[in-house]
Amino acid sequence: MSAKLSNLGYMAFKKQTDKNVAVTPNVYVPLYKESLMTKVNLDADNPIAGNKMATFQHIQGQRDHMGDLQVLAEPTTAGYILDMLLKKGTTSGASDPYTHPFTLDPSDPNAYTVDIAKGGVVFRFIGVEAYELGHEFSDNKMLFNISVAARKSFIVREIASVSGTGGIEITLKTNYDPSPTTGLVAGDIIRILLADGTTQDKVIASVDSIVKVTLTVGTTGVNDGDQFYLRAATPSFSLVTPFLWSRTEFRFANDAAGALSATHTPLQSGSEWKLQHNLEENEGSKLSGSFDPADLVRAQGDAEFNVKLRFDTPEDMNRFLTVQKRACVVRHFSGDNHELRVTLNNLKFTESPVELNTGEIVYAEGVLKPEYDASDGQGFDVKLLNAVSTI
Amino acid sequence: MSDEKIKYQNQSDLPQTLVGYGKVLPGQTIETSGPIYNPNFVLVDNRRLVGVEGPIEQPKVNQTLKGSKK
Repeated sequence: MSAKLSNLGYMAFKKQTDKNVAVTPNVYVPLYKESLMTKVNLDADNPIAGNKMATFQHIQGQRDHMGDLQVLAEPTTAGYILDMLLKKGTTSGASDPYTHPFTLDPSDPNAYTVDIAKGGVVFRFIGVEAYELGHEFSDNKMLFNISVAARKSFIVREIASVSGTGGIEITLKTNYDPSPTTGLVAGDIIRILLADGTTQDKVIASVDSIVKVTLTVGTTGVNDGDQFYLRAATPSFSLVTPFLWSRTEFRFANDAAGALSATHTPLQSGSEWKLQHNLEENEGSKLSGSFDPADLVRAQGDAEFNVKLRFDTPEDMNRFLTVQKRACVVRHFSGDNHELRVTLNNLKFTESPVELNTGEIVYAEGVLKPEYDASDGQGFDVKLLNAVSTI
Repeated sequence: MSDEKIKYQNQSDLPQTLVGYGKVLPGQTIETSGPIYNPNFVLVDNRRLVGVEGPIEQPKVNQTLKGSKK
Protein backbone atom coordinates (compact mmCIF):
# COMPACT_ATOMS: atom_id res chain seq x y z
CA MET A 1 0.00 0.00 0.00
CA SER A 2 1.62 3.25 -1.13
CA ALA A 3 1.85 6.39 1.00
CA LYS A 4 -0.42 9.27 -0.04
CA LEU A 5 0.24 12.91 0.78
CA SER A 6 -2.80 14.75 2.16
CA ASN A 7 -2.06 17.71 -0.13
CA LEU A 8 -2.84 15.57 -3.19
CA GLY A 9 -6.46 15.40 -2.07
CA TYR A 10 -9.13 18.08 -2.38
CA MET A 11 -12.53 19.25 -1.20
CA ALA A 12 -15.35 20.05 -3.62
CA PHE A 13 -19.03 20.85 -3.12
CA LYS A 14 -22.23 21.74 -4.95
CA LYS A 15 -25.70 22.78 -3.90
CA GLN A 16 -28.38 20.10 -4.03
CA THR A 17 -31.91 20.77 -5.22
CA ASP A 18 -33.22 17.92 -3.03
CA LYS A 19 -31.63 17.59 0.41
CA ASN A 20 -31.45 13.80 0.07
CA VAL A 21 -30.24 13.55 -3.55
CA ALA A 22 -26.55 13.88 -4.36
CA VAL A 23 -25.11 15.97 -7.17
CA THR A 24 -21.57 15.89 -8.56
CA PRO A 25 -19.53 18.63 -6.82
CA ASN A 26 -17.85 21.19 -9.08
CA VAL A 27 -16.70 23.99 -6.75
CA TYR A 28 -13.25 23.31 -5.32
CA VAL A 29 -11.97 25.14 -2.24
CA PRO A 30 -8.48 24.99 -0.68
CA LEU A 31 -8.68 22.75 2.36
CA TYR A 32 -6.37 22.84 5.38
CA LYS A 33 -7.78 20.17 7.64
CA GLU A 34 -10.96 18.18 8.07
CA SER A 35 -12.52 15.56 10.28
CA LEU A 36 -15.73 14.77 8.41
CA MET A 37 -16.45 11.09 8.82
CA THR A 38 -19.19 8.51 9.01
CA LYS A 39 -19.73 6.92 12.41
CA VAL A 40 -21.39 3.54 12.33
CA ASN A 41 -22.21 3.63 16.06
CA LEU A 42 -22.08 -0.09 16.63
CA ASP A 43 -24.59 -1.39 19.14
CA ALA A 44 -22.53 -3.51 21.57
CA ASP A 45 -24.91 -6.20 22.75
CA ASN A 46 -24.38 -7.72 26.22
CA PRO A 47 -27.19 -10.22 26.97
CA ILE A 48 -27.29 -13.08 29.44
CA ALA A 49 -25.93 -15.75 27.15
CA GLY A 50 -24.03 -18.33 29.14
CA ASN A 51 -20.56 -16.76 28.97
CA LYS A 52 -18.51 -14.03 30.60
CA MET A 53 -17.53 -12.09 27.47
CA ALA A 54 -18.57 -8.43 27.90
CA THR A 55 -19.71 -8.12 24.30
CA PHE A 56 -21.75 -10.95 22.86
CA GLN A 57 -22.19 -9.34 19.43
CA HIS A 58 -21.99 -6.01 17.64
CA ILE A 59 -25.09 -4.91 15.78
CA GLN A 60 -25.13 -2.25 13.09
CA GLY A 61 -26.29 1.02 14.66
CA GLN A 62 -27.80 4.22 13.32
CA ARG A 63 -25.14 6.24 11.59
CA ASP A 64 -24.21 9.88 11.76
CA HIS A 65 -21.88 11.93 9.57
CA MET A 66 -20.22 14.90 11.22
CA GLY A 67 -17.01 16.80 11.43
CA ASP A 68 -15.15 20.05 11.05
CA LEU A 69 -13.70 21.62 7.93
CA GLN A 70 -11.04 24.32 7.72
CA VAL A 71 -10.96 26.04 4.34
CA LEU A 72 -9.60 29.23 2.83
CA ALA A 73 -11.94 32.19 3.41
CA GLU A 74 -12.13 33.72 -0.04
CA PRO A 75 -14.89 35.68 -1.85
CA THR A 76 -15.75 33.27 -4.67
CA THR A 77 -16.34 30.21 -2.48
CA ALA A 78 -17.50 31.90 0.75
CA GLY A 79 -21.07 32.25 -0.49
CA TYR A 80 -21.60 28.51 -0.74
CA ILE A 81 -20.36 28.02 2.82
CA LEU A 82 -22.70 30.71 4.11
CA ASP A 83 -25.50 29.09 2.08
CA MET A 84 -25.06 25.92 4.17
CA LEU A 85 -25.49 27.88 7.41
CA LEU A 86 -27.99 30.69 6.83
CA LYS A 87 -30.86 31.58 4.52
CA LYS A 88 -29.71 33.31 1.37
CA GLY A 89 -31.84 36.24 0.31
CA THR A 90 -32.22 37.84 -3.09
CA THR A 91 -28.94 38.64 -4.79
CA SER A 92 -28.62 42.20 -6.05
CA GLY A 93 -26.33 43.80 -8.59
CA ALA A 94 -26.19 43.74 -12.37
CA SER A 95 -22.50 42.86 -12.51
CA ASP A 96 -19.46 42.25 -10.32
CA PRO A 97 -19.77 42.84 -7.40
CA TYR A 98 -23.00 40.97 -6.68
CA THR A 99 -24.37 41.34 -3.15
CA HIS A 100 -25.67 38.21 -1.47
CA PRO A 101 -27.50 38.65 1.85
CA PHE A 102 -27.63 35.86 4.43
CA THR A 103 -29.91 35.92 7.46
CA LEU A 104 -31.13 33.78 10.33
CA ASP A 105 -34.53 32.93 8.89
CA PRO A 106 -37.32 30.45 9.66
CA SER A 107 -36.61 28.97 6.21
CA ASP A 108 -33.84 26.42 6.23
CA PRO A 109 -30.45 26.84 4.57
CA ASN A 110 -29.52 24.75 1.55
CA ALA A 111 -27.81 21.36 1.65
CA TYR A 112 -24.70 20.49 -0.31
CA THR A 113 -22.91 17.41 -1.62
CA VAL A 114 -19.32 17.48 -0.38
CA ASP A 115 -16.57 15.31 -1.88
CA ILE A 116 -13.27 14.97 -0.03
CA ALA A 117 -10.53 13.09 -1.86
CA LYS A 118 -8.36 11.19 0.61
CA GLY A 119 -5.60 8.98 -0.74
CA GLY A 120 -7.14 7.07 -3.64
CA VAL A 121 -10.71 7.27 -2.35
CA VAL A 122 -13.29 10.04 -2.59
CA PHE A 123 -15.47 10.33 0.52
CA ARG A 124 -18.82 11.76 -0.53
CA PHE A 125 -21.22 13.30 1.97
CA ILE A 126 -24.77 14.05 0.95
CA GLY A 127 -27.12 16.64 2.38
CA VAL A 128 -24.39 18.55 4.20
CA GLU A 129 -25.35 21.59 6.26
CA ALA A 130 -23.32 23.78 8.60
CA TYR A 131 -24.30 24.64 12.15
CA GLU A 132 -21.34 26.78 13.18
CA LEU A 133 -19.03 29.11 11.27
CA GLY A 134 -16.00 30.67 12.87
CA HIS A 135 -12.71 31.90 11.52
CA GLU A 136 -9.07 32.42 12.35
CA PHE A 137 -6.15 34.10 10.71
CA SER A 138 -3.16 31.99 9.72
CA ASP A 139 -0.44 34.61 9.35
CA ASN A 140 -2.38 37.17 7.34
CA LYS A 141 -4.91 34.97 5.51
CA MET A 142 -8.34 34.14 6.86
CA LEU A 143 -9.53 30.58 7.26
CA PHE A 144 -13.10 29.45 7.88
CA ASN A 145 -13.72 26.86 10.59
CA ILE A 146 -16.97 25.12 9.75
CA SER A 147 -18.83 22.51 11.79
CA VAL A 148 -21.05 20.39 9.53
CA ALA A 149 -23.38 17.42 9.60
CA ALA A 150 -24.57 15.30 6.66
CA ARG A 151 -27.56 13.09 5.97
CA LYS A 152 -25.76 10.27 4.12
CA SER A 153 -22.40 9.25 2.76
CA PHE A 154 -20.93 7.17 -0.04
CA ILE A 155 -17.41 5.93 0.64
CA VAL A 156 -17.08 2.33 -0.58
CA ARG A 157 -19.43 -0.53 -1.38
CA GLU A 158 -18.92 -4.18 -2.13
CA ILE A 159 -19.95 -5.61 -5.47
CA ALA A 160 -22.57 -8.35 -5.26
CA SER A 161 -22.70 -9.34 -8.91
CA VAL A 162 -21.83 -8.28 -12.45
CA SER A 163 -24.23 -8.66 -15.33
CA GLY A 164 -25.06 -7.32 -18.75
CA THR A 165 -23.05 -7.54 -21.95
CA GLY A 166 -19.35 -7.19 -21.11
CA GLY A 167 -20.05 -6.89 -17.40
CA ILE A 168 -21.49 -3.43 -17.78
CA GLU A 169 -24.07 -3.70 -14.99
CA ILE A 170 -22.91 -3.69 -11.38
CA THR A 171 -25.11 -4.75 -8.49
CA LEU A 172 -23.91 -3.68 -5.06
CA LYS A 173 -24.28 -5.51 -1.77
CA THR A 174 -26.73 -4.28 0.84
CA ASN A 175 -24.51 -5.00 3.85
CA TYR A 176 -23.92 -1.24 4.42
CA ASP A 177 -27.42 -0.08 3.53
CA PRO A 178 -30.54 -1.40 1.81
CA SER A 179 -29.95 1.31 -0.81
CA PRO A 180 -26.22 1.04 -1.57
CA THR A 181 -26.29 3.21 -4.71
CA THR A 182 -27.54 6.26 -2.81
CA GLY A 183 -25.03 9.03 -3.34
CA LEU A 184 -24.00 8.03 -6.85
CA VAL A 185 -24.75 10.29 -9.81
CA ALA A 186 -24.71 9.52 -13.54
CA GLY A 187 -21.38 10.71 -14.86
CA ASP A 188 -19.48 9.96 -11.64
CA ILE A 189 -16.05 8.45 -12.12
CA ILE A 190 -15.43 5.31 -10.11
CA ARG A 191 -12.75 2.74 -9.47
CA ILE A 192 -13.13 -0.98 -8.86
CA LEU A 193 -10.52 -2.69 -6.69
CA LEU A 194 -10.28 -6.35 -7.57
CA ALA A 195 -9.21 -9.12 -5.22
CA ASP A 196 -5.84 -9.39 -6.94
CA GLY A 197 -5.08 -5.75 -6.14
CA THR A 198 -5.57 -4.40 -9.64
CA THR A 199 -8.01 -1.60 -10.39
CA GLN A 200 -10.35 -0.67 -13.22
CA ASP A 201 -11.48 2.93 -13.78
CA LYS A 202 -14.99 3.42 -15.11
CA VAL A 203 -17.74 6.01 -15.47
CA ILE A 204 -21.34 5.58 -14.31
CA ALA A 205 -23.79 5.78 -17.20
CA SER A 206 -26.90 5.50 -15.07
CA VAL A 207 -28.06 4.69 -11.56
CA ASP A 208 -30.72 2.12 -12.37
CA SER A 209 -32.04 1.23 -8.95
CA ILE A 210 -31.20 1.32 -5.27
CA VAL A 211 -28.77 -1.58 -5.83
CA LYS A 212 -27.67 -1.43 -9.50
CA VAL A 213 -25.69 0.91 -11.74
CA THR A 214 -24.75 0.69 -15.42
CA LEU A 215 -21.32 1.74 -16.57
CA THR A 216 -20.38 3.35 -19.88
CA VAL A 217 -17.84 0.62 -20.64
CA GLY A 218 -17.86 -2.97 -19.42
CA THR A 219 -15.57 -4.59 -16.87
CA THR A 220 -13.17 -7.53 -17.01
CA GLY A 221 -12.81 -10.11 -14.28
CA VAL A 222 -14.82 -8.22 -11.67
CA ASN A 223 -16.44 -10.47 -9.11
CA ASP A 224 -18.52 -10.63 -5.97
CA GLY A 225 -16.68 -8.91 -3.11
CA ASP A 226 -14.65 -6.48 -5.21
CA GLN A 227 -14.65 -2.89 -3.92
CA PHE A 228 -16.55 -0.11 -5.71
CA TYR A 229 -15.75 3.52 -4.88
CA LEU A 230 -15.53 7.05 -6.27
CA ARG A 231 -12.14 8.12 -7.59
CA ALA A 232 -10.56 11.53 -7.61
CA ALA A 233 -11.23 14.06 -10.33
CA THR A 234 -8.72 16.67 -11.46
CA PRO A 235 -9.49 19.70 -9.30
CA SER A 236 -9.83 23.21 -10.67
CA PHE A 237 -10.00 26.41 -8.65
CA SER A 238 -11.68 29.75 -9.28
CA LEU A 239 -10.24 31.92 -6.54
CA VAL A 240 -9.38 35.54 -5.86
CA THR A 241 -7.36 37.10 -3.05
CA PRO A 242 -8.59 35.69 0.25
CA PHE A 243 -9.83 37.83 3.11
CA LEU A 244 -6.89 39.12 5.11
CA TRP A 245 -6.29 40.34 8.67
CA SER A 246 -4.62 43.40 7.18
CA ARG A 247 -7.85 44.24 5.34
CA THR A 248 -10.23 43.51 8.20
CA GLU A 249 -12.00 46.41 9.87
CA PHE A 250 -14.08 46.49 13.05
CA ARG A 251 -16.55 49.37 13.11
CA PHE A 252 -18.49 50.18 16.25
CA ALA A 253 -21.41 52.52 16.90
CA ASN A 254 -24.59 52.71 18.93
CA ASP A 255 -26.55 51.07 16.11
CA ALA A 256 -25.82 48.98 13.04
CA ALA A 257 -26.51 51.76 10.54
CA GLY A 258 -23.98 54.00 12.26
CA ALA A 259 -21.46 51.18 12.61
CA LEU A 260 -21.35 50.52 8.87
CA SER A 261 -19.79 53.92 8.18
CA ALA A 262 -17.98 54.38 11.48
CA THR A 263 -14.22 54.74 11.71
CA HIS A 264 -12.37 51.46 12.00
CA THR A 265 -11.19 50.54 15.49
CA PRO A 266 -7.93 48.58 15.22
CA LEU A 267 -8.09 45.47 17.37
CA GLN A 268 -5.53 42.93 18.51
CA SER A 269 -5.15 39.50 16.98
CA GLY A 270 -7.68 37.15 18.53
CA SER A 271 -10.61 39.46 17.95
CA GLU A 272 -13.16 37.34 16.12
CA TRP A 273 -16.79 36.51 15.47
CA LYS A 274 -18.54 33.15 15.37
CA LEU A 275 -22.01 32.43 14.00
CA GLN A 276 -24.25 29.53 14.98
CA HIS A 277 -27.41 28.11 13.50
CA ASN A 278 -28.00 25.20 15.78
CA LEU A 279 -29.44 21.81 14.93
CA GLU A 280 -31.91 20.09 17.21
CA GLU A 281 -29.39 17.23 17.22
CA ASN A 282 -26.00 17.62 15.54
CA GLU A 283 -26.07 13.90 14.69
CA GLY A 284 -29.35 14.38 12.87
CA SER A 285 -32.78 12.97 13.63
CA LYS A 286 -32.46 9.26 14.23
CA LEU A 287 -35.97 8.20 13.41
CA SER A 288 -37.26 4.74 12.72
CA GLY A 289 -36.82 3.12 9.34
CA SER A 290 -33.32 4.23 8.35
CA PHE A 291 -29.68 3.71 9.28
CA ASP A 292 -28.96 7.33 8.26
CA PRO A 293 -30.40 10.47 9.86
CA ALA A 294 -33.88 11.21 8.62
CA ASP A 295 -33.25 14.95 8.66
CA LEU A 296 -31.17 17.79 10.08
CA VAL A 297 -33.67 19.86 12.04
CA ARG A 298 -32.86 23.51 12.64
CA ALA A 299 -33.22 25.15 16.03
CA GLN A 300 -32.16 28.66 17.10
CA GLY A 301 -29.28 30.84 16.04
CA ASP A 302 -26.67 32.69 18.04
CA ALA A 303 -23.31 34.37 17.73
CA GLU A 304 -20.19 35.11 19.72
CA PHE A 305 -17.92 38.12 19.44
CA ASN A 306 -14.59 38.56 21.20
CA VAL A 307 -12.52 41.72 21.09
CA LYS A 308 -9.05 42.46 22.36
CA LEU A 309 -7.76 46.00 22.41
CA ARG A 310 -5.44 48.23 24.37
CA PHE A 311 -7.07 49.61 27.48
CA ASP A 312 -6.67 53.26 28.42
CA THR A 313 -10.15 54.83 28.67
CA PRO A 314 -13.26 53.47 30.38
CA GLU A 315 -16.04 53.72 27.74
CA ASP A 316 -16.31 49.97 27.12
CA MET A 317 -15.98 49.29 30.84
CA ASN A 318 -18.96 51.60 31.38
CA ARG A 319 -20.91 49.77 28.69
CA PHE A 320 -20.12 46.48 30.42
CA LEU A 321 -21.10 47.70 33.86
CA THR A 322 -24.33 49.39 32.73
CA VAL A 323 -25.30 46.80 30.10
CA GLN A 324 -25.44 49.23 27.22
CA LYS A 325 -26.09 48.28 23.59
CA ARG A 326 -23.23 48.35 21.13
CA ALA A 327 -23.36 47.46 17.41
CA CYS A 328 -20.47 46.29 15.27
CA VAL A 329 -19.99 45.74 11.55
CA VAL A 330 -16.96 43.60 10.76
CA ARG A 331 -15.76 44.19 7.21
CA HIS A 332 -13.33 41.82 5.51
CA PHE A 333 -12.21 43.28 2.19
CA SER A 334 -10.70 41.60 -0.88
CA GLY A 335 -9.54 43.31 -4.04
CA ASP A 336 -11.24 46.53 -5.10
CA ASN A 337 -14.87 45.69 -4.39
CA HIS A 338 -15.31 42.28 -2.77
CA GLU A 339 -16.26 42.03 0.89
CA LEU A 340 -17.52 39.78 3.64
CA ARG A 341 -19.57 41.92 6.00
CA VAL A 342 -20.81 40.59 9.33
CA THR A 343 -23.29 42.85 11.12
CA LEU A 344 -23.93 42.30 14.82
CA ASN A 345 -26.89 44.52 15.56
CA ASN A 346 -27.15 44.55 19.32
CA LEU A 347 -24.22 43.47 21.48
CA LYS A 348 -23.88 43.43 25.23
CA PHE A 349 -20.63 42.90 27.09
CA THR A 350 -20.81 39.76 29.23
CA GLU A 351 -17.18 39.96 30.29
CA SER A 352 -14.61 42.72 30.11
CA PRO A 353 -11.53 41.74 32.09
CA VAL A 354 -8.60 44.12 32.20
CA GLU A 355 -5.60 42.42 33.79
CA LEU A 356 -2.21 43.72 34.73
CA ASN A 357 0.80 41.52 34.07
CA THR A 358 4.31 42.73 34.74
CA GLY A 359 6.17 43.73 31.59
CA GLU A 360 3.04 43.60 29.42
CA ILE A 361 0.79 46.17 27.79
CA VAL A 362 -2.65 46.62 29.39
CA TYR A 363 -5.38 44.98 27.28
CA ALA A 364 -9.13 44.64 27.62
CA GLU A 365 -10.49 41.32 26.38
CA GLY A 366 -14.21 41.76 25.95
CA VAL A 367 -16.70 38.99 25.36
CA LEU A 368 -19.90 40.26 23.76
CA LYS A 369 -23.12 38.39 23.13
CA PRO A 370 -25.61 39.50 20.52
CA GLU A 371 -29.32 39.79 21.08
CA TYR A 372 -32.33 40.41 18.87
CA ASP A 373 -32.63 44.08 17.99
CA ALA A 374 -36.27 45.09 17.73
CA SER A 375 -35.62 48.17 15.60
CA ASP A 376 -33.42 46.28 13.11
CA GLY A 377 -35.53 43.13 13.25
CA GLN A 378 -32.54 40.83 13.63
CA GLY A 379 -29.57 39.91 15.80
CA PHE A 380 -27.03 39.53 13.03
CA ASP A 381 -26.68 39.12 9.31
CA VAL A 382 -23.97 38.55 6.72
CA LYS A 383 -23.52 40.14 3.32
CA LEU A 384 -21.08 38.85 0.74
CA LEU A 385 -19.96 40.89 -2.25
CA ASN A 386 -18.27 38.83 -4.94
CA ALA A 387 -18.14 38.06 -8.65
CA VAL A 388 -20.51 35.08 -8.53
CA SER A 389 -23.90 36.01 -9.99
CA THR A 390 -25.78 32.98 -8.71
CA ILE A 391 -25.08 31.02 -5.53
CA MET B 1 -3.81 5.40 -27.49
CA SER B 2 -2.90 7.61 -30.48
CA ASP B 3 -1.12 10.96 -30.25
CA GLU B 4 -4.42 12.70 -30.94
CA LYS B 5 -5.14 15.50 -28.50
CA ILE B 6 -8.39 15.61 -26.54
CA LYS B 7 -10.27 18.92 -26.47
CA TYR B 8 -12.14 20.12 -23.40
CA GLN B 9 -14.13 23.29 -22.84
CA ASN B 10 -14.60 25.18 -19.58
CA GLN B 11 -18.38 25.16 -19.27
CA SER B 12 -18.57 27.08 -15.98
CA ASP B 13 -19.24 30.81 -15.62
CA LEU B 14 -15.91 31.49 -13.91
CA PRO B 15 -12.26 31.06 -14.89
CA GLN B 16 -10.95 27.71 -13.70
CA THR B 17 -7.33 27.09 -12.80
CA LEU B 18 -7.12 23.42 -13.72
CA VAL B 19 -4.47 21.58 -11.73
CA GLY B 20 -1.68 20.61 -14.09
CA TYR B 21 -2.91 22.85 -16.92
CA GLY B 22 -3.36 26.44 -15.73
CA LYS B 23 -6.03 29.10 -16.02
CA VAL B 24 -8.87 28.43 -18.46
CA LEU B 25 -11.41 31.17 -19.13
CA PRO B 26 -15.18 30.48 -19.37
CA GLY B 27 -15.87 28.98 -22.79
CA GLN B 28 -12.20 28.48 -23.55
CA THR B 29 -11.00 25.13 -24.87
CA ILE B 30 -7.83 23.31 -23.97
CA GLU B 31 -6.12 20.32 -25.51
CA THR B 32 -4.84 17.53 -23.33
CA SER B 33 -2.89 14.38 -24.04
CA GLY B 34 -5.04 12.37 -21.65
CA PRO B 35 -8.58 12.42 -20.28
CA ILE B 36 -9.57 15.09 -17.78
CA TYR B 37 -12.25 14.30 -15.24
CA ASN B 38 -13.56 17.60 -13.88
CA PRO B 39 -17.26 18.55 -13.80
CA ASN B 40 -16.46 22.03 -15.12
CA PHE B 41 -14.91 20.69 -18.33
CA VAL B 42 -16.70 18.88 -21.17
CA LEU B 43 -15.44 17.16 -24.29
CA VAL B 44 -15.76 19.51 -27.23
CA ASP B 45 -18.34 18.72 -29.90
CA ASN B 46 -19.53 15.56 -28.06
CA ARG B 47 -16.50 13.68 -29.26
CA ARG B 48 -15.78 10.29 -27.78
CA LEU B 49 -12.40 8.75 -28.45
CA VAL B 50 -11.70 5.07 -28.12
CA GLY B 51 -10.76 4.35 -24.52
CA VAL B 52 -11.70 7.82 -23.30
CA GLU B 53 -14.82 8.26 -21.26
CA GLY B 54 -16.32 11.67 -20.72
CA PRO B 55 -19.37 13.07 -18.96
CA ILE B 56 -22.52 11.28 -20.04
CA GLU B 57 -24.71 14.27 -20.79
CA GLN B 58 -22.73 16.87 -22.66
CA PRO B 59 -24.39 20.21 -23.47
CA LYS B 60 -24.45 21.19 -27.11
CA VAL B 61 -21.98 23.91 -27.94
CA ASN B 62 -24.16 26.45 -29.71
CA GLN B 63 -22.18 29.62 -29.19
CA THR B 64 -19.01 30.68 -30.89
CA LEU B 65 -16.13 29.46 -28.81
CA LYS B 66 -14.29 32.45 -27.46
CA GLY B 67 -10.61 32.46 -26.66
CA SER B 68 -9.92 28.99 -28.07
CA LYS B 69 -6.26 28.16 -27.99
CA LYS B 70 -6.52 26.20 -31.26
